[in-house]
Amino acid sequence: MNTIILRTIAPALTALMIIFSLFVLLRGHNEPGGGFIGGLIAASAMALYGISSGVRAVRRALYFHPVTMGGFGVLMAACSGIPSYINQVPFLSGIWWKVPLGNGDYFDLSTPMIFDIGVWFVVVGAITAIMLTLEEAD
Amino acid sequence: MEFYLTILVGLIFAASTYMMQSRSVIRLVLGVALLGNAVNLLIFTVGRVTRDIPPIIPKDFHGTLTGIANPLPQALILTAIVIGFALFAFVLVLTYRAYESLGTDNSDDMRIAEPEKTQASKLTY
Amino acid sequence: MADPNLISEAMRTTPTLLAEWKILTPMLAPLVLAAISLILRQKDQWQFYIAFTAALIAMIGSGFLVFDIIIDGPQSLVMSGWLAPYGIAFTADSLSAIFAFIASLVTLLIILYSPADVDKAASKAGYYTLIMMLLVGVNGSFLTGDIFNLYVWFEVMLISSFGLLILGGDKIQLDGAVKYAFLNLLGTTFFLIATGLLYGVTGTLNFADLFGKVAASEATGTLAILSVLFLFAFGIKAAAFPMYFWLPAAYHTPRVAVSAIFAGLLTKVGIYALMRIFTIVFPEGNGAAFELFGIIGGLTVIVGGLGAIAQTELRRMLAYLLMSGVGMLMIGISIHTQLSLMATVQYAIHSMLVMTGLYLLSGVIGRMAGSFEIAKIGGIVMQNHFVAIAYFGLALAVMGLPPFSGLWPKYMMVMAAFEQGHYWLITAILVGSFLTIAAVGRASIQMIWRGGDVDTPDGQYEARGKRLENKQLRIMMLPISIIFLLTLWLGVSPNTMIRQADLAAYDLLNVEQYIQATFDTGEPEQ
Repeated sequence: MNTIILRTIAPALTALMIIFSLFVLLRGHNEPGGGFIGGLIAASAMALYGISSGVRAVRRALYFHPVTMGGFGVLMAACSGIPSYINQVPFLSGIWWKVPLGNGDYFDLSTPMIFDIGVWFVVVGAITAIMLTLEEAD
Repeated sequence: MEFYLTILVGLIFAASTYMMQSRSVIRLVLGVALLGNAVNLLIFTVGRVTRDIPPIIPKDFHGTLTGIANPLPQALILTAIVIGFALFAFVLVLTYRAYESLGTDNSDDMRIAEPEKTQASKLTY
Repeated sequence: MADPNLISEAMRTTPTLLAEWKILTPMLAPLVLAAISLILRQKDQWQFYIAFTAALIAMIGSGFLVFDIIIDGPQSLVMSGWLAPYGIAFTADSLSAIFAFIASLVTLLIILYSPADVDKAASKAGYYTLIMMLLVGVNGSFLTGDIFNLYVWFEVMLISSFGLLILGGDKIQLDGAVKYAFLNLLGTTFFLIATGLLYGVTGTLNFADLFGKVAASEATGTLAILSVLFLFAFGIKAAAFPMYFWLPAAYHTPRVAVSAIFAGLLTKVGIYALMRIFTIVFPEGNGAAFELFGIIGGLTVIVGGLGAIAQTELRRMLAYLLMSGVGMLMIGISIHTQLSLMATVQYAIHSMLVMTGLYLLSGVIGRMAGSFEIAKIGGIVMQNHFVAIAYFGLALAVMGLPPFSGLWPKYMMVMAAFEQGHYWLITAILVGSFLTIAAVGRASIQMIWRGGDVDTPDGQYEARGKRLENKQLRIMMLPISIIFLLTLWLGVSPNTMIRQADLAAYDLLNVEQYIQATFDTGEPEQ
């Protein structure tokens, strides 16, 4: 699989796929998309990079260990329920904050988004971890 | 449509049952994977198969929508697919590791945890 | 904006108080701390403390839940404000709460035992994280009020147990894990089929909502099949008679602490699910289910006892004893009266504690003798009196003899069977108890009192086992002593347990309160 074409194009394609995965992640609440599918896209980006450049390059690029990322994601998703406590609504209720951007526009920040980002981390972490383990075993 | 899917579900169930009769563990893995998919397809079919009307209740409408596919079973099988995927990945790796270290994929020969001959205690003491 | 009246029909509009969150603590605390321990998994010296804190918080949370339910009746909280049956509800009655409490307690004790049994490598590989996730799955199964949610918690539990089972990756572990994994996968798949079809018949997945809808449904044939499917699915989980083969194949393969937590918790979750589903969803049993329960239970008790006698490996013998206990629980569900369900709840609590204790003790004995083969173990009483006394006590408890906790539930079970005229179930219980006494008694004579291994002549002491370090022995004996004292206390003064079991059985047979709690809109009562 180590052709020069793949090796040349893979880093660019990986970057593109990760940007796309973030796009899919962020549009998730109102349109098709979300943390799971976005995470799968990012994980396949990592797989592509792993195939072309090797496991070590992926580990270096990720910086954090994939399992750590998964743990962080679980923590984030679980903690997205905490603001419900302050607002006195049941666990995991969607709470929205309007963050002013300065020019009159608002940026919608919400707990479902935090949850989705958590899911994204879990999926990326778990699938990348499995994939790297399998690839290393060969 | 549902009629053909029902027959397909039956066929997949039959195939997976056949696969699971095998002593070879790898066939067992495939049988279990097929069974999971058969179940998902079954639940999907039970929730009606149609794509004419989206299951969205219009404004100022009170009552039950008819002619839609029920979205809840689809949400259920989405969860089940994700879980099934994780379990399948685990079982696949487990089977491979077991084959590597036990040197066999015949479930009759996997007797390390349950040895055939054990040292019996004396019955009298 | 939509019509506010419509919103308040589907969503909760009243504020949620902190007190209502306690139903989540038994799941949320271990989940959050498991995530933290996963992030910090290289710091293996912290792992123990994180896991200890998680189990402690879960135990305190479920303890408060038990008290609140005694005072106020069943508690419920819907996720993200969608009222039942639209949203996912967590509903706890006396049964769920006491089971969650005991499960957290057992996990806490096993975590206390773990430093003696788990090395650095296993700790870094995620032993403590998996234990916490197992607790999340078990407590979630106990507390959820939604049948599909129950499926999800089952899977959380299953995946964590897979991880624990193969941790270390010995040959024997892989062998056991293959059998465990496939049969349990089959069980959850059947659970999924039954759940999907139940939704197809009734259009709801909420336990409280299912109660009325199943009774009103005209599809009695389908429902009869579904009840048997559920029985099959949870029968595999609980290791009942024809579906038990994975248990004795797998439970003796992992490290002792893992065997102990499996023995304490996993089969009981299957039993809990049966108790819940066959009181609220199928209160009539639908089909021949209750007679079937009795047949399965009676056979499980007897086959478990026979298996225990036949085994020559200590931990496999314990696996069959565990199975025999599952049979007792099935008999209790089958008789289905206040008294029998009371006995079932008590027996489940007793079995969680005692089987965990026996497995932990088997670890001590195995270490002392260097083997788990009963033929090679000997001279325990000469090496350490405390270990011998602990084994003797727990053995009496598992036999159901006074003054330990096994006596009362067995007595009540026989009484309940007698009242209903199920004489062959009484016979099964007594035969099973006799077989248990024979198996445990023989093992204790051979392991504890025989001077050495199988060929040692009478009256001689030639134990060749190594002495355990005192520090390690103290770590291992602490949780065992706690279990010993607990089972002694529950045997000598059973009132606390009987009262709690009475409440739990009452809640099981009178589901109105459970339903009311689930559909509670959070508005203060007039």
